[in-house]
Amino acid sequence: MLEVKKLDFTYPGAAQPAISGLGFEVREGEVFGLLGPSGAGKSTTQGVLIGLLEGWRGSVEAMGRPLSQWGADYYEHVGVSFEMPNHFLKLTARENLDYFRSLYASETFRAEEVLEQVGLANSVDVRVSEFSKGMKNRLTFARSFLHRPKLWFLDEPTAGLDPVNARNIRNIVRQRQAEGTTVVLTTHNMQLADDLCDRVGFIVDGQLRVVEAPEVLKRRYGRRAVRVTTETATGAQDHEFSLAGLADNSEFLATLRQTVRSIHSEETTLEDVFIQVTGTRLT
Amino acid sequence: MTWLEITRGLVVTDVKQISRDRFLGFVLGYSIVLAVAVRFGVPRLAVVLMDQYGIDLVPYYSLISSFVALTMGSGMVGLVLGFLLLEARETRVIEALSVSPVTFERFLSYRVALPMVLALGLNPLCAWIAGIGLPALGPLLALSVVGVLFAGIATLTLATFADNKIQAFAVMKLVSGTSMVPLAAKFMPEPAQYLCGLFPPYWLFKAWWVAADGGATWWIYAVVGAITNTLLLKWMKRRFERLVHKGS
Repeated sequence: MLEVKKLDFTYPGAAQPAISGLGFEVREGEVFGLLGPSGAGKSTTQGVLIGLLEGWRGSVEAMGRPLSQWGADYYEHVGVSFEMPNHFLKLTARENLDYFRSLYASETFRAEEVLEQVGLANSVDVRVSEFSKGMKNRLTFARSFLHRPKLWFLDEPTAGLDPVNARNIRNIVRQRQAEGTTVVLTTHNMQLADDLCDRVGFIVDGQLRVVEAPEVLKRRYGRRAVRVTTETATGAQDHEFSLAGLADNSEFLATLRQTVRSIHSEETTLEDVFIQVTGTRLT
Repeated sequence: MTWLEITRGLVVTDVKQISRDRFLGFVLGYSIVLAVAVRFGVPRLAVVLMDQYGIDLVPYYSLISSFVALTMGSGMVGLVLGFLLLEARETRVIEALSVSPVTFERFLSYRVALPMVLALGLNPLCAWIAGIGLPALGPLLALSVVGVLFAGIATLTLATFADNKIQAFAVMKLVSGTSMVPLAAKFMPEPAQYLCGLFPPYWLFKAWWVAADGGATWWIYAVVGAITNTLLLKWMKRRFERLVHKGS
């Protein structure tokens, strides 16, 4: 669906490239996450892939055609949800979406349909200038899949949303993926990436350090162990056991016969893996 | 989507935005109001000035009509759409349109072309309403057509040099003031008045004055005006493109 090779981009006047030697592939129907801290090069990479930035070097092929050979028809197949909301403020939510619907040759969702999906059914005819930031963000997200894009770019789609709406957004992404949409997710939210992505790429200082499935990374970098905390006369005591042969581990079984306060697997988080791989915190 | 379908959608959106903003509606109607004021006010003022002070205003009718026909229509419609372009930049709507079948290039071409198309009707209308100091129909229409370039220049000037609406009002005053500077040429002898040619609107004013006096060389000034105003428009467009791409 998307193939990127040796991608370099330097902003005009900048001494250092924003991204350098980037290479990765996004498979059809998967959710691919580009993860990294602010300023790592995620948005620049997305800027190139959605055709907003010019002057890059390398090779980018989207939907079987070099990016440079696509014209305005590229956007018939591509949807983009920006991190910052961008709407006609004097128009209502419905008018905004109807305007964008009118631009596409392909079949689109009705404005009311997508607004209901993102929880804005009661604000269809409210001017966007009266929306809160979270509502504007949801409208941005809704607009990005109006035309049922094959390739969908999401930049921090849950930023600024409450947990209920964030979960709703995740569900919509899963639903679109189930219907065949390929998703490129740009985020520094590791929990979101872990939840949604089939594969992730860690990007730091404009370079891609690793591309792998979150589960594989967590297995590779995590400790395969379980921690049992038991009650003692003076407080609590932690015991750690390897997952290998756990069922036959007599010491583990004996510990379970004590008063157990908690049992936790020592599986690592994607954020811990990121720190181990890149030596950088996600700030 | 065809270019025509995309344009229709953009026009409908513009109409909705302008109709929901009283200030923009007022600015758009201002050129007509001024033209009406000139038609009915200036001849009366001329009589008063002649009777009470012995000042003859009639030789300056072409100066007044050139400003109304070539600057007011183009300038006002250009500034109104400049406000919309600035708003699209401020609210990052340009970014959203850039990743739609409209694309940035198409949107900017539309945004610059629309005020010029509107000025195509507004310029001769303002001249007709003002009704004083007019050249013959041929040069009037020809100069009204070349005068539409100022509409695109005004749109891009406002959206490029202002970062927000507050600054936009200052830029609006600057555009209005600067466009009046070449009128001073009317009071300067040749060739000194050609210094005003540094301001591209001068050449069109000059063509208007020559044509209104029945001169045959008006078209030379019109051609110079067309060239200088086109160069200025292209330069402004490049500046705006660089500004937007720098921001993205």
